[in-house]
Amino acid sequence: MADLGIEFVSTKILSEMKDNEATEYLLKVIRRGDMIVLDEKLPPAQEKELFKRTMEIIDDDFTGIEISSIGDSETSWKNSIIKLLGGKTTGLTVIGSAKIIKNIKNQKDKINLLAKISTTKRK
Amino acid sequence: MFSFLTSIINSIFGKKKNVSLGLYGAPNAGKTTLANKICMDWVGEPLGVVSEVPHETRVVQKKERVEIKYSGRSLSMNLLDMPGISTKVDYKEFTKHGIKKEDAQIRAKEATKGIIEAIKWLENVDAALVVMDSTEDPYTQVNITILGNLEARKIPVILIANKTDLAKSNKNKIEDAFPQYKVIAISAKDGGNIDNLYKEIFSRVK
Repeated sequence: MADLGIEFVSTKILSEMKDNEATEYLLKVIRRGDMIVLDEKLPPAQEKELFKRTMEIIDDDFTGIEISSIGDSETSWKNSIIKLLGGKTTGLTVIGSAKIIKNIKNQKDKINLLAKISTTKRK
Repeated sequence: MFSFLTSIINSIFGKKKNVSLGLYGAPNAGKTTLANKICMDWVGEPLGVVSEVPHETRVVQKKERVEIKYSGRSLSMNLLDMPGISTKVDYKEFTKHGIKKEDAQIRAKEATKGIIEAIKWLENVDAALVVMDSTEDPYTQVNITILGNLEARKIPVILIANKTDLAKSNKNKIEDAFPQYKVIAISAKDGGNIDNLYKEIFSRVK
């Protein structure tokens, strides 16, 4: 049976990086063939950068990402106050290569994901 | 909170004489069909080519100074039909529609550039129509991210539940998914309920 790696990452690690470094880190893990689970919802601006950078590196082998997240938006008043006070918001983000994630469905409070484990060697 | 957001929305819509209105959404949501309908109604000519093959619109298509009228009032808009935003582009999907491999690879490359362009425009539109296929699940990360970014920049948004001409159409799913937004159900293809959209746009203009 083939392997599927999953990195469970605290967003604290990402917050200590510059925006582009965080995006590159996420894409490095995804292109390696692993999935990422973050303990927060990514801010919309960071998601946007991730989408943009993904488009820049798509080729015949890497066809993009699948991503799904749950939790309040960073722009919600509740989360704005929590962030202002230095707290941590609740949420979850799952990201993986489009070649691995066959189906992903967001039901607001839960994410259903079907992954296809590749038999090819992981990078 | 909602009334506060509405007041922001109203004031932004009402500030400019010539509004840049961006049509956003996932591929095949019907953005170009809607842009064509608006242009046909007010300019008398279509804006772009419509196709069942995803990513038919791969560059931002603009129609400047589209003047729409409702109840004796008029509004001039620069209409921007954006390429559909997605998180993946696989040329093999295009070959399933009978496109040759080489052409499909070129189309895929153009599609990725178009998506980047559409994302960059998120910071520059004055208002947005976020078009959703009302026969599909609306709660996708693409829609969430588009709306999140527009909301973060306080850009006024109207959600469009498109394709009401299809039996599977369900406006309620979009309203349930994004309850903080006004949803207008239309059929861009046959023009069904399009007057309601014009009415809604004018209701945001002071």
